[in-house]
Amino acid sequence: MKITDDYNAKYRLWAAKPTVVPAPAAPRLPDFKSKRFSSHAELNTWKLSALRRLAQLSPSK
Amino acid sequence: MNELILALNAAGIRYLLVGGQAMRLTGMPRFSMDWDFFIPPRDGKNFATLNDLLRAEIDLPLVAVGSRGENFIQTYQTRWGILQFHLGLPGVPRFPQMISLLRNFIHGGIQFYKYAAPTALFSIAPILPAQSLSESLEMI
Repeated sequence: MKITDDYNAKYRLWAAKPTVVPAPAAPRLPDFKSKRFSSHAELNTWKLSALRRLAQLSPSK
Repeated sequence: MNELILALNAAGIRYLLVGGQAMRLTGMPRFSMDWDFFIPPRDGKNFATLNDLLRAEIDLPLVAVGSRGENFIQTYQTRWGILQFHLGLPGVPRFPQMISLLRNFIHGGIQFYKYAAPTALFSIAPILPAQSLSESLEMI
């Protein structure tokens, strides 16, 4: 059985007790140049490849 | 990051903070690391002011969307983290309509519309009692 999030339950929990948490510290990422994309699909493709590169740089590898 | 948000507001930039950070600011933790801004796609004055503000941070100016959807999303790495400017959002009305919708959505004159998490806010609207919605928005 595939278990998926129940988004309505999440929203109800949030609505019942909204809590603003501090923004997490920005991670130190390798520098990259600015990018322009024509679609979210294009952005996601780039993001996936950037994440793969980051994973390869991971010291735990 | 507050510094940037305050600078955008002071300069009168037309923007909506959307995505994970907007959800976080409305009380729903979501640990997205980038900051997503929805901006009007062809407002020349807005682009000029934004580019002026971000001059020291960005290596490529923000530009209007092209006739074939070029530059629809523009991503920058800055000292505040990754900033993503969306010139449109799939499934979300255009910028002016969005502002208008959000203004209508809020009661009591709360100027919350600079922070919006479209999916979440529109999804929760039917299940949130008006009072708690106002309270949660006043926190912003």
